[in-house]
Amino acid sequence: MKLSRSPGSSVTGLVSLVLIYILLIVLILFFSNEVLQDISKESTLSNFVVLPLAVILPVFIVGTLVVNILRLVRERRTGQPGVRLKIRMIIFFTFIAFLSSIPQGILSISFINTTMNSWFSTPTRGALQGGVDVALEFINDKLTNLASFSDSAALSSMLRDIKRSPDHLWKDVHEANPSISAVQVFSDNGNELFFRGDSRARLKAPFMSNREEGMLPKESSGDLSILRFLRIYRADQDRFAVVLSSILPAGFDQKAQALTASREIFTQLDRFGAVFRIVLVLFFSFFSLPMLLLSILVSFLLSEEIMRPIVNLEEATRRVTQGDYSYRILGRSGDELALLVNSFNKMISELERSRLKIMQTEKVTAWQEIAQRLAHEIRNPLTPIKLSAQRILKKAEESREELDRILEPAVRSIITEVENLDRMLREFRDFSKLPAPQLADVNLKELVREVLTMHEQAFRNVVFNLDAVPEGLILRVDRDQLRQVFTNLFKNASESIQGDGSVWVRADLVRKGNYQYCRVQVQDTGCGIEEEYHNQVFNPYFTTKGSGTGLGLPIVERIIFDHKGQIWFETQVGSGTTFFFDLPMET
Amino acid sequence: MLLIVGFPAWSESTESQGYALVEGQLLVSLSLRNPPTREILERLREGLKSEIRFDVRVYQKTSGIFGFLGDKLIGECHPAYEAQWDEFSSQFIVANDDHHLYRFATAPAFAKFFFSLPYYATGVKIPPGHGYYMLTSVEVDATKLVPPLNMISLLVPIDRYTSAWERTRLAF
Repeated sequence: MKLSRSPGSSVTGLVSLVLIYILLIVLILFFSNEVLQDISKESTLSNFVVLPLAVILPVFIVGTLVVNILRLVRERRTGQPGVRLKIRMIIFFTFIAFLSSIPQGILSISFINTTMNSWFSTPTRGALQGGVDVALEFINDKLTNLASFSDSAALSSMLRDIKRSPDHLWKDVHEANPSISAVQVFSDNGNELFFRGDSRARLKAPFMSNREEGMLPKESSGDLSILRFLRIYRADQDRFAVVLSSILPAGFDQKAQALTASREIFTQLDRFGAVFRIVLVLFFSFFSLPMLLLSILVSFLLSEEIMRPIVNLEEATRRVTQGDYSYRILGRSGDELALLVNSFNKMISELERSRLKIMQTEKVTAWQEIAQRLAHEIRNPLTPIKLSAQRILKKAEESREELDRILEPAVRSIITEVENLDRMLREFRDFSKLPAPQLADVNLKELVREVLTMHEQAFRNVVFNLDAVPEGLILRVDRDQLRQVFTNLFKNASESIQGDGSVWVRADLVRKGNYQYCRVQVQDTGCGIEEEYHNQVFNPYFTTKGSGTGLGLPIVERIIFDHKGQIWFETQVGSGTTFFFDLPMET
Repeated sequence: MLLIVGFPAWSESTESQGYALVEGQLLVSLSLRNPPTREILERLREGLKSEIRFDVRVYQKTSGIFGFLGDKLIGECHPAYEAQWDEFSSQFIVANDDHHLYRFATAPAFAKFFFSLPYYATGVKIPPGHGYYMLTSVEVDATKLVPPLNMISLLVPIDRYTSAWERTRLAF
């Protein structure tokens, strides 16, 4: 029993595609969450991620798709079973994939545009710029206030008590300008004389006494920012460096930095927004395309998976049609197609059993018929043999002279009839023990010409024409058996011709289903076959000729059947008969 | 735009003024000739950040039957600076790879610092031998793009100045 096995390649392919799909999603998530955060910096990991994402995976998917498409084209060219339905299914699946992808793409791009326009709108930008301006104004006010107070005559007046009472000085300064956080005074050599106010504003390093009067650089440490002004005060012979400090609100620098960083995004968007939108669309396409290609690949595998049992059924049906009842399909478990396959297998088993039963019955019937015919044919010569023998015996008893007269013709008659019996039994043996064909490449025209050479001499009244047999047509057949076929057909054709006539031989290539055959015709201008004999032409021992054994055409039929071919005939009484037989080109 | 190797003589330098070998480690000094100072200052004043990256690669010539495989890479480094203008303190701020901040009150002082890499310890150890050479290049992003706009730089180099690779033979 032959089994059509499911190779399972579709399942493996589907699993591979699912793994690639998951890998793609993981890479995209990684790309969007990690790499984009700082894509400008080189890192081995990002290269490791970006490279396969950008090159290897799409190339692999495109390559696999191209291979599948080429295979499909080849299957279509060679007319593989189910290929048209498969193509329709793939187109259908691809269409669905496009139908779902296109709106998703439009929606995503539209969503990105809307979100960008909403998040980075003009009011938001205005609010951010306003925040920066307010912060700048605040710090400028602080600076102006510090500078103007430091330069003021009021401070000069307060500094007169610098030697006498530092506490008094701090009290006066703080009362006059509450935004001053601390006062620190250094001697001419840079040593601190005193410090009053918020301890966080105290300068810890030795002060450079040669510095010029004016604003000192803003100091920032942690969330603390301090503005300072240096005032040089001279009293008598002494020189003092007075540092007035003003502490900014906690976290001022960080907040200002956050504002400027946010404003930076807006500035970059203003400058590169158009390019960014194009890049976004390109990236979206870049990530979507492999997904779309993957879905098309899935459609290939799904259609393969769906089509396989149908193709197997078609193949099995064709095999059964050709007489191969041993073919079975291995079904899958659990679905309706498996039930169908099981039913089909059961049906073929039943068919095979019935066929074997019928064949057995037919065989018995045929042999019974043959036995009857054989008995009848054997009895025919036995009568003249018996009569001849009785006649010899009778004459031998009556007269020696009469015996001499009839002995020779009577013995000759016995010998002739025995020879007939011998020929008949030999042909019967040939018919019943026809060996299996030994196939070899045979040039048809050469074979036919070879057979005709013998017949042309025996039937000089018949013109044989084999112009319609192509030169170089090679068949894979048993040479001796095919020679027997032509011998029998030519003999029948020639014997059916009364007077002058002709026999044409023709060969053509024909296609039946998926198989190619060589169709051979042997046409004669003989007397034709009466309609009442049409059903008996291929029966053993049926003959309309006086000298025939009735085994010629049954042998021809048997040989053609053994070559997996078919034979039939068309005839018209008075016009002639044409025998057709088809031999498969592939074995 | 050309990258030049300029280096004042110092006591440890051996033969060249542009590089030196100190305790087996290569020190280089690089600066950019004709830097895009005006463009960088414009971007900084607009509130954008700029970045400069120096690429240094040290090779040793390969000869013999394996010459076709190319020269051997001994080591490389890519020091970078990121600059911004702080309008609250009216200072240029430059951050190096170690996040150390440098502040400059004037544009010339900032530009002098930003476009040069003085006495930089590359971390590349040079084993005894000969046939060494160095390839150097500078890449300046006048606008350092912030995420997610930095995606643009994957496809299009934008607002970027790149010098050609310059080769310097190293002889110690």
